[in-house]
Amino acid sequence: MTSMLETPTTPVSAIGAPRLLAGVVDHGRVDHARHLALHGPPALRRRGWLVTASHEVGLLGRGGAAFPVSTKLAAMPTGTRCSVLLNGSEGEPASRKDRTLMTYAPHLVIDGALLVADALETDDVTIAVHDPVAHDSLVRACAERTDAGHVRVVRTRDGFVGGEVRAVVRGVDGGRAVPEGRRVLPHVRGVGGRPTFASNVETFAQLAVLSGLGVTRYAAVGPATEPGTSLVTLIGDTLRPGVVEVPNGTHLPLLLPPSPAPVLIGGYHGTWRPTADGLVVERASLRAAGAPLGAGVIARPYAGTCVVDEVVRVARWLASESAGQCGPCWFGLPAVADDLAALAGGAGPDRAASAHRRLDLVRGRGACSHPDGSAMFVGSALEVLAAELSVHQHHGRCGLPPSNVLPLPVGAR
Amino acid sequence: MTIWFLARATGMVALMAFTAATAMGALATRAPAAPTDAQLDRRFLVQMAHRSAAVLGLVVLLAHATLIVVDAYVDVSLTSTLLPFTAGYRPLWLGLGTLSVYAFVLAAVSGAMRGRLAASPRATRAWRRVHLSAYAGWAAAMCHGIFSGTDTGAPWSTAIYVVCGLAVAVAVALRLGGRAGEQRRPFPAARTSVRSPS
Amino acid sequence: MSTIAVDWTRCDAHGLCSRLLPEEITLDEWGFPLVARRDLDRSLVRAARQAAAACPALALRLTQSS
Repeated sequence: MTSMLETPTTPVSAIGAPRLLAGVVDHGRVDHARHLALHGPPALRRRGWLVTASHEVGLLGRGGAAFPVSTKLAAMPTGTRCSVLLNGSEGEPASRKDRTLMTYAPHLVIDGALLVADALETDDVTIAVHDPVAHDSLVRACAERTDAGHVRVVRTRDGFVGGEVRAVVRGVDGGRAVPEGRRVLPHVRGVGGRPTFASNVETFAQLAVLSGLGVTRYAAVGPATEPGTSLVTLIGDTLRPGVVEVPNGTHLPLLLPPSPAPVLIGGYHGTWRPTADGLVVERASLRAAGAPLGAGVIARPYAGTCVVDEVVRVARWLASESAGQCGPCWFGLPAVADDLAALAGGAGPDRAASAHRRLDLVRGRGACSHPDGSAMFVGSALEVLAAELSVHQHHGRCGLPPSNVLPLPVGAR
Repeated sequence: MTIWFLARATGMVALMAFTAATAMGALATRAPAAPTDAQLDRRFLVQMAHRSAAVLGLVVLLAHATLIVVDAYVDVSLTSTLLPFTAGYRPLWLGLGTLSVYAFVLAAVSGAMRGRLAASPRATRAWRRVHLSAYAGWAAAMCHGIFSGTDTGAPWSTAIYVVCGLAVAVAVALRLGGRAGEQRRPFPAARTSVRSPS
Repeated sequence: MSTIAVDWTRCDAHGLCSRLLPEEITLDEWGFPLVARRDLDRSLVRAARQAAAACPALALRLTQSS
């Protein structure tokens, strides 16, 4: 048995009263007894109630696609045996919210799984998790209670693209964890070939909170357009680095000190912006502003450091994470990373033109959104870091100390 | 005697048609790294010719089998045509003839169904393996011809067998040799080696 | 209305599609097809079917969206 860390190592905090992280900030891992004291037993609901309630609060998936949960629930067929899949693979290296949630509030995640499974009248529940500490915490949590005997906790070991939901389905079924070429959605055919309700672990935790509080109390926090709270991971020059539970509608500048440095919103499939002014933690408005929240990562390098080389490193890592199934991604992403590296090393503007041309070539030409997301990261960097890039173009370097805030897995180069 | 002549002739023609089909099948699958437009056009034409030769072969093969059964000179019944190794005359080599027919029919059906198989990824992968039965069919046909054919020994017959044999051998050699130059994506195998199964 | 769809996990850049349907398909710098994703003109459907059948990897599909 691995020894459990009862206190968080990634800093964990909350703005306002925590819901998902209730008990975690003060006491560390929430065991079953404390969980019952904080949240009570799982509030099992009928399927219709869940569909209506999640619709009324506009609950969106927490995995990055932000798909409306009620639509996904309503799309599940009736009368056939289905499955429930919780995606805790968290392949994004910069994101830590899912593993934090699973490690320190596992019972909330399990409650969410149980109530969705109950509403869909199935006992086929799988939690796919990558992080070993989170995995152990979940397994331990299932043992701490008596109603989770049928919950399967599966350890995944695959890379970034392996965290995409269809890839997770294949991995759980014993195949290669890569997305297949024809986009069949999980609710049509998922785990074991059965219609599957698949979503991010935080979504299930939110459903548990929603069930427990009811619509009115759930919607007491956050804007009318998207009530509730969200978990975000703050990285680098931020006011509270680590995992933070924030009420939806929080102004982003509240989380970031004033700084001339650019902001990365949404993680490595996200968007660079020169400033966070005018942006709020609300998925619809961020998407409308062209900077979708994605996996909830908000990163800011320190002012006076060089971001360019760091962006090149991430671009190279993204290229290396291609599953290798689709030509445009497999050839295009490394080519873009090369162009970017050349620009950073002093190459002329024709490399910039080449990078832009290739970004257009990788978008939409693959089995999953890895090339699209990577193109968004690099494309927005080219735009927002234009000034820094032009210094590099002319001199090969900029003389500033290198930034080192964007995490990559150990061994990535 | 006319039927007997036709039976032998159609056998030879079928072999030549299937030799052409098999050789072109091997050549058409070569995929050079950066094909020119002319190479692509040629590949498409070879695909078409491959199909035509196969169809011709099947038609003539059907004639050959029918004539052999009908003909009075050799006593081969319908049953022994359909059931391999049951003929009274040279059962082993005639049996190979039967197997050759089945192999070619399998290849032809898989070829014709190719478009419809596109629906299932697993079927697409299995397709090529099934279609390779054509090589087995061709080899069996060659042996059948050489060892049960009554014209074996005649110079014209030997010439046909040699040419057919060389044609397929060269085509296959070119096909296997060409593999080195193909632009291969370092496919899934390379990436899963660093990962353990979930 | 028919559109062409590419199964990117199967496409191996053989390039035959670009020869059989040059009006809709060109090749990028790595040999992979660039499909103008607009709906197929009726007159091109036959050529598109030929291109789909000729693809060595069976990566090209015609989808009916009517």
